[in-house]
Amino acid sequence: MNLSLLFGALVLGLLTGGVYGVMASGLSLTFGVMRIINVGHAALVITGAFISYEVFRHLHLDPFAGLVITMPLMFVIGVVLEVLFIRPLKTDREELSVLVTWALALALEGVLGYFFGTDLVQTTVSYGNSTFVVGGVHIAYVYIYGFLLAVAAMAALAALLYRTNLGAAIRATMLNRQAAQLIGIDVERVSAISFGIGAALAGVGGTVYGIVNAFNPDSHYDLIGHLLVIVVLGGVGSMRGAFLAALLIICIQDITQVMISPDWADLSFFVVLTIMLVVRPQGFFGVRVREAT
Amino acid sequence: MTGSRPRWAKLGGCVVALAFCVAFPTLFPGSGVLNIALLTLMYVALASSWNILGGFAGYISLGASAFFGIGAYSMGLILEHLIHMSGGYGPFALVPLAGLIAAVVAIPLGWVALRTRHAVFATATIAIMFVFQLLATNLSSITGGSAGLGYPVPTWTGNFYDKPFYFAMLVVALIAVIIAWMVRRSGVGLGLLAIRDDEDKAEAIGVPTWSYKLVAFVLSAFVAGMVGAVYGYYTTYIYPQFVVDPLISIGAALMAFLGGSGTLVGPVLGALILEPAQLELGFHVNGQIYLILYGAVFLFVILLMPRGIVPSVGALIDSRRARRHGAPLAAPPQQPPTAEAVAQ
Amino acid sequence: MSDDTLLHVQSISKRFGGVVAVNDCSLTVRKGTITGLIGPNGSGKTTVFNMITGFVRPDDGAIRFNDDTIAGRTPGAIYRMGIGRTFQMARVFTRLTALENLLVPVRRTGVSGFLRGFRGVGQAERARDMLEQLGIGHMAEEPVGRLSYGQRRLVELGTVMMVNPKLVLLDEPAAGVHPRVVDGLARYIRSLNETGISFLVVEHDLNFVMDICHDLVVLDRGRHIAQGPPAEVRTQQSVIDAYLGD
Repeated sequence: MNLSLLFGALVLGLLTGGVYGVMASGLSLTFGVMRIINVGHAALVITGAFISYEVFRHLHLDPFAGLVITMPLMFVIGVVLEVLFIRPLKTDREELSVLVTWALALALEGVLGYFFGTDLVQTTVSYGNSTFVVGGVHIAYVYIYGFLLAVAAMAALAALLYRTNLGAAIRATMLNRQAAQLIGIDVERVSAISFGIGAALAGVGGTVYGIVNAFNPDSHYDLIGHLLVIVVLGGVGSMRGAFLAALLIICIQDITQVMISPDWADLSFFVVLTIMLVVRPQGFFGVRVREAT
Repeated sequence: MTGSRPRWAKLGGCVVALAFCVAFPTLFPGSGVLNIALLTLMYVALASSWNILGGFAGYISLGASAFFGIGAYSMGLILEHLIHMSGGYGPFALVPLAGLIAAVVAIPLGWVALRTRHAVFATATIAIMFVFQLLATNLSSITGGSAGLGYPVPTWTGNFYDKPFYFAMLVVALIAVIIAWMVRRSGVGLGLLAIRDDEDKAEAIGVPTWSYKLVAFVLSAFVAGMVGAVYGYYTTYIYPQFVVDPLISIGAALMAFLGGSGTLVGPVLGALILEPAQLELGFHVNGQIYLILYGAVFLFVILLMPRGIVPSVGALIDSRRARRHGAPLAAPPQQPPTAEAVAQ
Repeated sequence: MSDDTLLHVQSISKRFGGVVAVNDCSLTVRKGTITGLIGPNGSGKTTVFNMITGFVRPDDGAIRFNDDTIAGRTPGAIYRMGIGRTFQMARVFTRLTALENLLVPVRRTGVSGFLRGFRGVGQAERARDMLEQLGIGHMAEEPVGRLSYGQRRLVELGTVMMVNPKLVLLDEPAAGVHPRVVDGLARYIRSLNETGISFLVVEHDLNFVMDICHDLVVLDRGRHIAQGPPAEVRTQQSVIDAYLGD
């Protein structure tokens, strides 16, 4: 076994894992607050990628700097989507949310395709190709920037959740929606805001994704499988879990890719998922709940 | 629960519908029409079987796509490597086997996936679908990978081509509806409905929730596998991304919801309405607009008509009937209903 | 365990995170009695119920039903042992009819259930009779979602009774029930008791409790502070303090 190769794959895995972690934590947040699985989250990521791509193309703003536009825009999109399509779901919310968000994903894909076409694009920044080498593995510097951004985003999220009133309201709603309502929290508003935050986080992830990968509206398909597995692994509702699970699973994937073969790298994802579902269905940080009120 | 119409009327209606289906190819012999009818029947089968777990128990599964693919590949691989049959009526005999294979694969998958609740379960089924798409693409030495897999070409051609496949699909659709009917009236069906309303309570009063959900999951897989096998033979060449396609499960789910999930007629009605509409739309509209419209219709149905056509119409009829008779539907809440009777 | 003890709860405890809900609690239900479980809000009554019925696993202690250990079993298994339960917020299957609700626990299972349908021989009649007894026979074919809260409670009770339980745990049966109906409810419970069914009842309505209970257990802050006949218990200083104190 080539240890330095392994190390290189590990480093790559950690760096990219961070970005996936940001994306996945947005998904986890949505589940925690609203108890819905947003299968359209990947479509939101791609939307963010397109927005940052267009900002880069037309305003000549570096995508990282362009986040000042991308993030608020994604937030607004998230809030609008929540209010229009998710809030009306009154009964069977959990089950129907899968279908509703899938429909949203399809519609988003169509809208993106309509406006931006289906050709593959990429936010090609000037520094996009400079790489450094670790253990025989070429790693683009962009990955480091992306990872730093991811860490910053997670820190900002943590600050929001644990140091602000809004964050307290969000956490209360996550713990017990009914109780939060009883103590005067406007859970509908909190839901909309959380969904918006989730979308903004998706946008952050999408920005980096768009620099590193060629993408088109169809790309959300592959991505959503990965994100869902990460969230389940980390424990639905736990952002910390999502981030850590992302690091873990992307590392495993990259190591598999480098040491075994790229074809099987994708499969490693699902092997890990299966093991998790058998051993600990609630994920790392999830809780087994039997409703007994 | 509208049980008021006499049984023989329902039975009569079924017989008439069946007779119409059998006569259909003779009445409308154009092959374009038969193709639409065939695909519609395909979704009648898929929606009805999806409904067993998704509608009765409320567990949204997107695994039908995977089992559809497993059925298609099983049939193709058997024909390629194990039983060499020339194209003809022979391969049709393998269809139930393909279904069985899908069902057997579903057992361990369901075993694991059903240990989780709704949202995570849906995720697990999505994962199952992706895994099989990956396997189909990557195990290229067996499945032909993205180059696809071929079936023996049937010996009949021309205008007659669709007819045998139409009847094969009709049989599968019939089986699907019958299975759904049998489940619905059985103890398992009642248990599944209870699970949908309150799973913990159902478990607390002795409903073996995991077992029942597994039965529903496996039965759905059985039907999906058979449908996939017939479809594979029909198209004579299958590719991973087309037979393991999420839109198969999504479509089935949407149709079941439109018609009324949890009922027997609902999925059939939903398929009859949506599949032809979908096919027509696909002809006239480009890919992106199609997606937007598809998503929009989906959202419309789920948000505005979550119970579907059949229950909504049923409720409308009930309330009209009640208004005509001038009686309220249920005893007014204020009335103490038990003081006298309980005192006995 | 003495001969006439049906349920014996011994020193059970439960903490949720930092909160101690139940602390070294013991109680007994004798065969054929109606035992009340009372105490101020937050005294742990529902948690005790949840532990007896298997929804929550006790951290410590033992629970025995007719000499069989309960603690650690699943709710379904405990149900099959003969313990039924109603919930604080009546839990019923809202999309099923009242009749179907009652048939769920006694539905025909297995292959014959598949072939012949879930209505077992005689069960539908039994269910209808039960609904008649409860005064909601006319609602048999109504989806329970359309029933009033009080009616849903009755459906819930009927569902429990369909399997002839030996012990029924009632979680606040009188809550939200019209005062006139409470008497009828008390009489119904007593009549069931006379057929040999034992009850453990959590209730805040002290008149109701004093009326029908043979025995009372008082909880305060997760611990039992008294057990005995109502007349005795109500005069105990510790009980008075618990209700009136800080």
